[in-house]
This record gives sequence, C-alpha cells and structure tokens, in this order.
Amino acid sequence: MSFIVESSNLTKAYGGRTVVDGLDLRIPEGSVYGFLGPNGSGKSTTMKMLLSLIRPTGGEVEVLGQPMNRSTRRQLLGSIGSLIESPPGYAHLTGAENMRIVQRLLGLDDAQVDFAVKTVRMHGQMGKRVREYSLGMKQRLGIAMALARQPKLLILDEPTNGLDPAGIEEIRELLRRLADGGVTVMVSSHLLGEVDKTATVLGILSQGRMIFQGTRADLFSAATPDLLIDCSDPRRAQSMLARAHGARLEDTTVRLAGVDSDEATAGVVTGLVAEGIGVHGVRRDEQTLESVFMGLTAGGGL
Amino acid sequence: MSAIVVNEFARMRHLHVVLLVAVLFAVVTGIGLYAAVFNPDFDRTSASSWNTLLMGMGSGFTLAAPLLLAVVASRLVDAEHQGGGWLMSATSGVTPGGLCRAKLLALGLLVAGATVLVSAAFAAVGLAVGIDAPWPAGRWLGLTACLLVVSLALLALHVVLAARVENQLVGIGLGLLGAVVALISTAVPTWIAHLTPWGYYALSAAAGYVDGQLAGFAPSYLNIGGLSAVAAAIFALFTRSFDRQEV
Amino acid sequence: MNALAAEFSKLKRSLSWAVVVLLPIVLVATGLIMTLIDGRGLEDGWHTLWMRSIVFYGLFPLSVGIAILASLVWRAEHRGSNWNALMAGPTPSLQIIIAKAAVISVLAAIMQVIAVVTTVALGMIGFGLPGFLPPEYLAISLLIILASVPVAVLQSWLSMQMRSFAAPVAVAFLGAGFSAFLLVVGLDAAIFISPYAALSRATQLGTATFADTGDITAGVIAAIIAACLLLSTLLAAANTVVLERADART
Repeated sequence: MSFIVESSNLTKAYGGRTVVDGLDLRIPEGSVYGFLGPNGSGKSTTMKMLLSLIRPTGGEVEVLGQPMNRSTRRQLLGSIGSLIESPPGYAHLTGAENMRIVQRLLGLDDAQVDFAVKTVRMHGQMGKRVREYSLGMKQRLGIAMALARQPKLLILDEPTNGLDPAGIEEIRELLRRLADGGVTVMVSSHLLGEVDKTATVLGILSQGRMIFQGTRADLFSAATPDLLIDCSDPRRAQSMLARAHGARLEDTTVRLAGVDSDEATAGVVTGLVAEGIGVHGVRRDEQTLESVFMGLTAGGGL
Repeated sequence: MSAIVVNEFARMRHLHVVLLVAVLFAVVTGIGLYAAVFNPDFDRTSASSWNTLLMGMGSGFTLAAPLLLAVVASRLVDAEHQGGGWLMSATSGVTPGGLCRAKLLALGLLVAGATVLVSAAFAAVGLAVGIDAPWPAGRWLGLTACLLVVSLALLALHVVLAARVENQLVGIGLGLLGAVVALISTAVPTWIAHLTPWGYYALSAAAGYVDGQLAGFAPSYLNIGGLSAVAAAIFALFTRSFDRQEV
Repeated sequence: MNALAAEFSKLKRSLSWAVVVLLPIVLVATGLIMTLIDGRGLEDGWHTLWMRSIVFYGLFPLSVGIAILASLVWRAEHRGSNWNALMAGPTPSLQIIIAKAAVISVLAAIMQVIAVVTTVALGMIGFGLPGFLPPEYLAISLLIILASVPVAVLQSWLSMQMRSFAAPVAVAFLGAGFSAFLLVVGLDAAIFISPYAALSRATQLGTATFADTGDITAGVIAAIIAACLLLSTLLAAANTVVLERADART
C-alpha cells in the first residue's frame, strides 16, 4: 500500500508543553482518513504541520512522496486542498468574488472553479455576500475553495462543526463522492459518529499521542467486547464467575470482561454446565465504535 | 506576484478603499488650493504664486494624509483578520509577509495615482489662472516625488502595524497622532522633524517663508531618500519575519 | 440605569482609557510646546494659554477622538453575534441608542476634564502664570461637554451602521475638517447642521479665533446650546426610527 501522507516521530512543543508527541501518521492513497480525538488533543496542530503552516519541533512529514517543509510547500500546496479551523471568506465580498481570489492565487481556470462550486452545491448562492451566508454555506464555500485546485489530498479540520444533521450528512456524502473520484481525504472530528460511516482508515489521538491507527475492523479487534451469557440460574453463575472474570449481573444476563479467546469461552460454558446450570445463550456484546473510542481515549489505552 | 496584487484590488471592493483614496485626493486638493489661493502672496504676475501653490500642496498632504492613510491600510489589512485570510493564503502558498507586500504595492499604486493627480491639478490651476512666471518643473516634480515617498513610508508603517496588532484602535490612534505631529513638524526646527516619519512632509517643502519672505527652495532630497531607505529596510525586515511566523 | 452600567462594563480592556487620557494631554501639551518653540510668550496670560491649547484640539482631534471612542464602544457588538443578542434582548431601541451615546458622552466629558486639568497644570507649573484659569473657561468647558453629545450621537449611529472601526473615524475627520472650513469662511449657521461645527464653535468661544469675535455673548451661548439640543434630539430620533425598521444583522 502506498501512503500519500507519512510522518515519522512528528512532534510539536510550545515551550515545555508537548502538544503533538511522536506521531507516525500513515494515510493510504485513496482512503478517507478519519482523524479523531477530543477537543484539544492536537488534531489542528498536526494538520497545520502537515501543511507546513507551523514547523515541527521534531520529526518529518512526507506528502505525495516528497518531504514537506518551507522550501517545498509552495509547490506541494498546489495539490493539497485544506480547510483549517474556521472557514475562510471575506465577509464584505460575494461568494463569487471570494472564489475569484482563490482562482487568481492558484492560477485556476473557470471550469475548475465551476466544478468546485457545483460539487458543494453552492452555484445558486455565489452572488450573495459571505456576510449573509449561514454557517453551513460558509463551510461549503470553504470546501469549494479547497477543492477548486483539484487536489490529490484534501485536509478538512472539523468540517461538520456547527452543522445541522442534514448539513453533516451532506458533507459525508460529499466526502464519499470525492473518495470515489480518487481524492484522498483526511477529516478530523471530535465526534466519532460523524466519520464513523465514511472513514475507511481511522487515527485516534489523545493528548497529542496516537493511540490507534488502522481500519475499522482493526479497531474492533483491538478491543475485545464483553461476553454475555444467558442461563437458567444467573445469580449463581454470577457468584461463581465473579472472582475469575469479574462477572456482573445485568437483569438476567451475566456480563464477563476480558474473555478474549474461543478456548476461554468454551471453558466458562463447561464450568457452568458442570455445576448444573443450563446455558441457553452465549454472545459477544454489541460494541459501538463510540464505546471503543471512549474506552481508548479515557484509558489512554493500547 | 501580479496575481497576488490583483487579488488585493479584488479585496478592496465594498471596503470603499478606492473611495477613501479619492477623498484623500479631494481633501488634499481642497485644503491646498484654499490655502494657496487665499494666500496674500498669490499674485498672478510673480513667481511667488507658484510658491504658494507648492506650499498649499504640501500643507494639504500634511493635514489629510496621516489619518487617511492609516484608515486605508487598516481597513484592507483588517479584512484578513476578519475573514481568516492569513490562513487561507498560507494554505495556498502565499505567506503573511507576501500578503503584506502585495497590500503595500496595491495601496501604493492607488496613492501614487492620487498624488500625481493632485500635482497635476495644482499645476493646471496655476496655468489656468495664467501665472506669468515659468512653471518650476524641477521643484514641482521634486515635491511630488517627496510627498509620495513619505506617504508610501507611512503606508508601509500602517500595513505592518495593522498586520501585527489586530486592534484597529492602535493604527487609527497613531494616524491621528501622526496628523498632529505632521502639523507641528512644519513649525519646529528641522532636526525635530527628522525624528518621526510624519515630520518628513515638512522636509518635502519646496517653498516657504524665510524671514517673512516667501521663497522657493529645493526639498531635502537626501533626507527623504534616507527615510525611504530606512522605511524599506524596516518593512522588509518585518514582512520577512511574518513569513517565518507560524499561523 | 442598567443599560448604561452594562455599556461601561463592555469597555473593560478595550484601551478606551488610552484615548480618553492620552488624546487631550498630548493635544494640549502640543499647543503649548508650539508656543515655546515659536518663542512667543503668553501675552495675555491664561487667555492665550487657553486659545493655544484648546482651539486646535477642537478643530478636528476632539471629534476624531469621540469617533474613535464610538468605534470602540460598538466594536464589541460587531464581533461574534453580540449584536443579535443585543437586538434580541428586551431593551428598547431608543434606550440602546441613548445608552451608547451616553457612554461616549461621559468618556468625552472625562476627556474635557483632563484637557482642562492639563491646561491648568501647564499654566501654573510650566509657565508660572499667576492665579487660576479664569472661571469663564470652566463654564465654556461645560458647554464643550454639552457640545460633545451630538457628535457622540452621530458617531454612535455611524459606527452602528458601518460596522467598521476605521470608516466612521474617517467620516469624523472629514466632517470636522469641512465644518472648520465653514466656520473659517464665517458660516456660523453651520452649527445647526453639523455637530462637528457646533463642537468646534464651542471650543473657539471667547478666543477671537475663526468664527469667534472674542466676546462671550448670551446670544452665542444660547445658539450653541440650542444647536446641541436640536441636533442630539433629531439624530437620536432618526437613529431610533432606522434601528426599529432595520432587520438585525450580524
């Protein structure tokens, strides 16, 4: 697999405070990379380093196979679209005038601008001043500015921040379409649900450290879900398994944590049956990405 | 670079920057002509009439330019603070310093145009009323160039200041103070006028009263050349440091 | 008056004190330094001192200073969605307008007090003038404070409407400059049309400069007071009507 973004030991410290700590980012080409982490975990700082807007204290970044730094950024930025922090846009100018500024800056042709504007479905709003735009419209204009250069890589920092559910869905849909068109998208969020369904690869950041990076499937397998057992005498089963597996009783279901292999599962069932308890249900807890995420970020795990 | 400068003109739309520069032109012309024509030494038959016009032009800039230049620079730079423009430009490969240089160039072109128009308007008035003495071309062009250089130096100061300090109060307040300083500098010993950029409007003078007599003299070209060198160096230094600054 | 107290608390950390304190001190001191440099003495003692310190200050710096204060007062509203919050609140439009203008006027009044204090201090300590500032100038100061009110109302309106810091200041500068011109050519009636002219006229009272004859007559004082009341009322009323009709904008 080839990576469009690769960083090694990427670190940023302000004074003595390390904001981003030894990141080894791997973004596969053509993927939608969901960059997750609570507010203040260093997502924006990392993205700014990828764009060489701020200089890393340590480590290196390679984008599109080339080292990204002050001397190469000018050339590389032509193929990277980005939207960092709040959406840009001069409030006193119309959407069209704002787009023309970007067009001139990057030497784009009208077709590219039209395409970008149509992609974010803003072609009906370009005559209005940005001051009159809703937050969602500003956000979409910002994405159009990033898209107009027809980037190979698109870096979006919390693009769904402050949008309503319909707006969020629209951005998701847009990301999917872009990925289908061959654009690699890196999108950050502090809400898992927003990137859950779109991202093919996930990177999870907590307090400046990468606590997980891989596919959705990898993430699930990294954290074993609890084992749930339904039996004829749940009370007795719970007290039997309390010491070895920390069993808890939920209604009539016994919940066991840390039973991570098929052999161990079979052993538990055998034990119950040997005590004359009838087992009629053994299953894994239905695990949401949300709970995995919370577990990882809270415990600082992995 | 040209695209970046053209973008600056695009950003000026709806900010009334061009209108403000036009107002600068009108006010300078108004004040200057009023001061010149109502001067008791304005007399069509003598060379002193040209001198009153030269003086009027100088006092027009002295009074109007410091504050209006501050307003113009402040508005254009503030648009970047408001619209997230520094970051947007940075992600497109234009550094904050580059943006400041483009702004100075764009505003400088407008101010240069206004200055040349003022100069032409004054000359036209002189010729229209039929001043007998020959037009003092050398001093006239010299004064025009000197006033322009001082105005550009002030623009550079205000662009850098507005980029550094988001609170517009600082730039506008300095502009107001500058207007006062510029005015005082016309009356104080020249060494004091050298101390502030606004004082150089007074040093540009190509005519004035020497011992109660109106006389023509050459502007202090050397000193104004010095101002332009210092201003250029400081502007380059600051914009260079903006380039390295992290956003 | 709660609205007024709220307005003052919005001015915290806005650097407005810098304008209020520095502007009059610098301008008054400037007038006097010019006197020293010129080598002219204070032929007429306190009267000359007052003329040199206050007349130039009143020509345009005072109006521009009030404009800057108005911009500072409105700056907070034009950031974020404070403006919406203000318009969505229960405060009636007229009260908002009066509160804003009142804050600006109070700051302008403090500026005038500082200008007078600076003049007195320089006169007594700097120039060693005998006695104290003639009492008529204290009365004129009250008139200047009153004349600041219509300028405050107008600038508050401009800053509200233009949503810009610098543009209203430029308007004040040009308005004051043009008004000064009208006074120079002797159009005294300008004080009933231009608040800047009324303010400049008040600062010239008793100095025999520009439109002034040097005599402080009841007629002139009455005219200035009438102009201030008229302009303040008209401008505040017009502003209220506009604000009532306008849609809230961010």
